[in-house]
Amino acid sequence: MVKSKFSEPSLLILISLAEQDRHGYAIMEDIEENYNIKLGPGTLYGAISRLEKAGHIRAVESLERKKPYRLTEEGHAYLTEQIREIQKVTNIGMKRLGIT
Amino acid sequence: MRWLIYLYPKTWRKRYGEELTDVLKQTDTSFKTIVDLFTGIMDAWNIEINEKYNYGYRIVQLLVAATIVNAFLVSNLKPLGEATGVNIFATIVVLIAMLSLFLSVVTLGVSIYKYGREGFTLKPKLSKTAVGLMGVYGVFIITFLTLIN
Repeated sequence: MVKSKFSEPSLLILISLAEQDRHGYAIMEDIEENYNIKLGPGTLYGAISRLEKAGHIRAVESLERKKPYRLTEEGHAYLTEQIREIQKVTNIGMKRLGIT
Repeated sequence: MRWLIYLYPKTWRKRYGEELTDVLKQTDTSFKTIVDLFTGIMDAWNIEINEKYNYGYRIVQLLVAATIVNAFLVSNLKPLGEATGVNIFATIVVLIAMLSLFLSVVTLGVSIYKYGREGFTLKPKLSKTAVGLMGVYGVFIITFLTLIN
């Protein structure tokens, strides 16, 4: 399995942005709503800065003060690869547990 | 709680400070949030320090500080004619130190001129030489300070 460079918050952020462009607080809300995980502001912006530096997300120009973030093509490819890896692990786990 | 943002590195604060302030305005103030912010601050500093560009920047800062120390030492140096014994040796040592510093600054300058931003990193041989010369300077200046004391 390819070792992930990023932590779980980063993946959750990428999944959130895969649906639509969102600014920081909207990402936090989306993650809390869908996974019941409350990301702290320090964790959120730590992950955002890493993802932006890696070129997986970028800030979109906006007329509003809050600039939303958008998933880049590289981010999309990275997320797809990560999700496939997770799915592979999940499938093997479920099969061995006799769930499927 | 928003004052904690000032503990982030300047470059980080410039880029995300405003956004983080907005998020903090909408977040409950709790012990967990404060701990989370401190973790984020340490993480941001860790990235800042480990970035090669900043490493080069720190070297330049060190060179500037060393130049100031040098200028101070030179202004207090006795003329060679008046010096005797240990003083002559100390004078030679400080002159070698200053020469190393001068060469270090020149080498780093050439490296930056030749390689651009990469010149700030340790990748080019010239940058490595500049750091080496800085080390020579360090050794000689410590020897000098030991001798005059």
